Amino acid sequence: MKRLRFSLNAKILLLAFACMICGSMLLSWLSLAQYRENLRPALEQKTATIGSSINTVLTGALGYGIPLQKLQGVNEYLDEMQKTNPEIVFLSVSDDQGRLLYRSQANGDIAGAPAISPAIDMDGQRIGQIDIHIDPNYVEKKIAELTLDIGAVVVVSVTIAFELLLFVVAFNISSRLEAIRTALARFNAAGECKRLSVEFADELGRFVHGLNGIMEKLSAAAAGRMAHEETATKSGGVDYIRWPFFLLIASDSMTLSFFPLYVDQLYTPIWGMSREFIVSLPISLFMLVWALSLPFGGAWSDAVGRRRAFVVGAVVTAVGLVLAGFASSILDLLLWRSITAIGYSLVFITVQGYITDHTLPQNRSRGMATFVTTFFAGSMAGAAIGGILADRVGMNVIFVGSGLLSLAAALFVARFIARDKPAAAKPKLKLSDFKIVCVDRDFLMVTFFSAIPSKIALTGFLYYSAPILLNILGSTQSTAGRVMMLYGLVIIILSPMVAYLSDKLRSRSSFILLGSLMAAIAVSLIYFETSVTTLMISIFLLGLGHAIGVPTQLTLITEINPELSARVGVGTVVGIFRLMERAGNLIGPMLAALLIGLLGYSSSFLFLSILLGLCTVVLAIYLALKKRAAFGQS
Amino acid sequence: MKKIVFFVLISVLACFAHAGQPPSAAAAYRIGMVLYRGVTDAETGFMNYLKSRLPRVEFIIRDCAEDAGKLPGIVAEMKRLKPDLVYTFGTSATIATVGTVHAVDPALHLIDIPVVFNIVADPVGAGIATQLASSGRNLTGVMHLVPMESQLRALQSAGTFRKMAVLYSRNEKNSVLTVQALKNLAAPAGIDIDEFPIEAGDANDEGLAGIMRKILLSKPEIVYIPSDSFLIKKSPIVSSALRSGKIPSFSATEGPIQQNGILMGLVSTYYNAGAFAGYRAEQILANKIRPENIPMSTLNQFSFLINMKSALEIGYYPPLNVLRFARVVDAAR
Repeated sequence: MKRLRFSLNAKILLLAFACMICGSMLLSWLSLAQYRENLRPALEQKTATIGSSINTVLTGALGYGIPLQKLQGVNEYLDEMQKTNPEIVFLSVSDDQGRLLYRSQANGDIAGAPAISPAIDMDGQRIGQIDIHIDPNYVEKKIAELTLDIGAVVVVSVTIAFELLLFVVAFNISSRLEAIRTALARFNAAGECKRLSVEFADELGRFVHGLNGIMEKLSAAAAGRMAHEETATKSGGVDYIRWPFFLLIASDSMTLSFFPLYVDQLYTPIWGMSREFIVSLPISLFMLVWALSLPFGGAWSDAVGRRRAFVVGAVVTAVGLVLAGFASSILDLLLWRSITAIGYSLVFITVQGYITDHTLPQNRSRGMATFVTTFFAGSMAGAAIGGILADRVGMNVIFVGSGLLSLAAALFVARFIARDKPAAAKPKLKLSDFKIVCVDRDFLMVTFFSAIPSKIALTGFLYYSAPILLNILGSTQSTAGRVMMLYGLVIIILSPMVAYLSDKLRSRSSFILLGSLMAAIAVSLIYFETSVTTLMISIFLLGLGHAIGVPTQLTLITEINPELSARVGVGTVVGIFRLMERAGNLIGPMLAALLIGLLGYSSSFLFLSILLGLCTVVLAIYLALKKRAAFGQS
Repeated sequence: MKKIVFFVLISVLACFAHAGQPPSAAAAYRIGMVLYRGVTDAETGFMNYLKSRLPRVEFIIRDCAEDAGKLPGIVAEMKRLKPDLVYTFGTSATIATVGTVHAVDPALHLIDIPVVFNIVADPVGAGIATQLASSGRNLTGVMHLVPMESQLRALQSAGTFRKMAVLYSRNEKNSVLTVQALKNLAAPAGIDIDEFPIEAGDANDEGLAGIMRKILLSKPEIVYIPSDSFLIKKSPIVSSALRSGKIPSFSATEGPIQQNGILMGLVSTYYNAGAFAGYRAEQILANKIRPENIPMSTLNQFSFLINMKSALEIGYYPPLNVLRFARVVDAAR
């Protein structure tokens, strides 16, 4: 028995992952080989077609009697052809003497680029030629891109499988084993004989049936009465809420990688506001409504029970998402997004409440870590899948699909989560608490110079600017989804490690400052080079910075001023902190939009980065002074 | 074989005979047409569209041959014949048929027969309706002019023109309004406009030739010609002067480009405008939509016309991207 080192869950999950990853790697390898083989001839075919299409346009103009040397707008036309055909690095037209007449702006190195050169014939006479230079690395670039796509899909499938398996194992095995263990332990300790409900006629069900038989005999022998007890499979623990929460977050995140572009499609001028600003409004309003409805959602969720609150929240979210897919103007989109935000906040706070209900104080922080991980896993999976699908089915369809996914989450909760009693009303935030907390200098410094800037970077840079930038850079929606998922991926992978290190090193301030600094650097990179790769690095760095800094902010806020926490309670301090940091969510998109309208893209990011950097410096000085003062006192 | 040829011949003859006869009771729809200068491409587009869409449609064609005095007689005949719908060509024929908003005389004008007008530049300005969204009466129609923004954008795609001369008749209200609209849009587009108005006294060949000499002396990079009746009629004079000075020209209407060698323009072709009017007639006849519920509108697809003979003559070579989408007329080959 002692040799068992992994839990049952871990074993099943590891095995499933190993199978999935091996399977998809094999499949990818096979299909990529096939792809590579077919791509080259297809590329040659396509180049020939481009050649003849350019030829047709040129000879069409020549046919009107315009001399080859006098053609106008040929360079622009060649540029356009090159732009729409990414495998071409250079296009040129020369006369029959080989003199270069027209050329596109070369895209990359043309020295080693193979060319095909169809002749331009007029009345059966050769009068010139077209040279089409093909990127020698195009096939490899395509394959690399496809590999990344496959990688994204594998990561997402593993995430989904993880969430789903966790539930399946919890529902079918671990929670029932736990119920049996409890029953046996009680029998052991107090001689209680209780009948367990069988529920399913599977192996465990048969085992429970047998166990009930034994219990019955023992009970008869002891002349006691058998008591019935329900196994706890339906009330469930934290693992039960993960999957529906994951589904809901994924559904809302499916539009993440293209949301600003969707808004931009609906753009009409409103009250002389700039286009960028109007496009930022739906995100900001969503954040505002979400933040404002959280306290009400929390109170309502406490009053009606988690199951009902989740179902209602998910249905409201679904309605908002579907209607957003049919939006015909910015104004009605704002309304539908507000509805989604209300539903979303209800689910958000309900799941937090559910976790509190089903954990004890000693394992609550682990429960909340589950919450955060599931949130980012859902957000990552949703963004990636939404992006990949948007290319194929269109943005409106994704909204409708995401609404259906939210409904699925609601159905799941209705089916698998037990009806529960209203929770005991929690102490509400009081105005007097605000008066105490909001004048505390330590609290304010961390909130205003670290937490709010982090949120500004998240919503202003990642949610608002990144999709627009990716679109400007000509990325497909798949690429956009893949790039956007990086943030969630980094957070999921690094958060446990950071939490471990932060507890071990106990150096909160340096973690926060490091995280903030990384976020500032992340945002600035775009100023120096505007490319998809840079943006990927930016988003990776932002994720890294936030993984390091953001969870630590919360710890610091509760530790930096022990007197404050003692006076109003840690929960109150955290509650007020959460409330205030959400201002950053709201400001982010609008600030980014205003800056972009005023300064253009790259300078805006430099400005934003300087702003984030300054906040970091101010906080660093403050923390250093505080430390010195503390040394002075001791 | 002989029999077949004979049969075909008889059928063809029968068709011709049919066209000349008074409308038969067998027709599902009878459409009266009040024309100003004969059957143009606009009417061909209108009739072809309706023939392809409606079963057994018959056209009763009446033409005043540019004599506005004959129009009341034609309208009176329409009142007698009671067709299902009346098509009118141009502003004069339309006003003669339905009257202006404030001067409708039930004795003279059609009230109970739906009317679809075509080739009217400005129905509101002409008093045919008070707003484009709805005429408020048994009437709708098609405007053939392209919005000025679109014309200007097309012009800019065809080359860089900074100095533009505009030729127009001072006494033609439409032209004056067009020039005003052009001036409003040209300034932000970085185009300088020189106006060359033709006063009433100069509205003849000699007067026009004099103004053309002035235009050539001012060396514009392009000359704009609005939808101006006098200039459309005299466009051979305008065109030959500009070609001799090797100056490109841009026209708001199709005819001067197609027939008289004006270089280019973004236009609603008469044929397309006619087909669109046919669609409006179909909405009224087959879909039973009331004319006052159909807005008066321009087409939303236009044709960029280039007269290639003039282009080669003056040495203007349109950019490839324009040539790819333009309709080239009068090409050498």
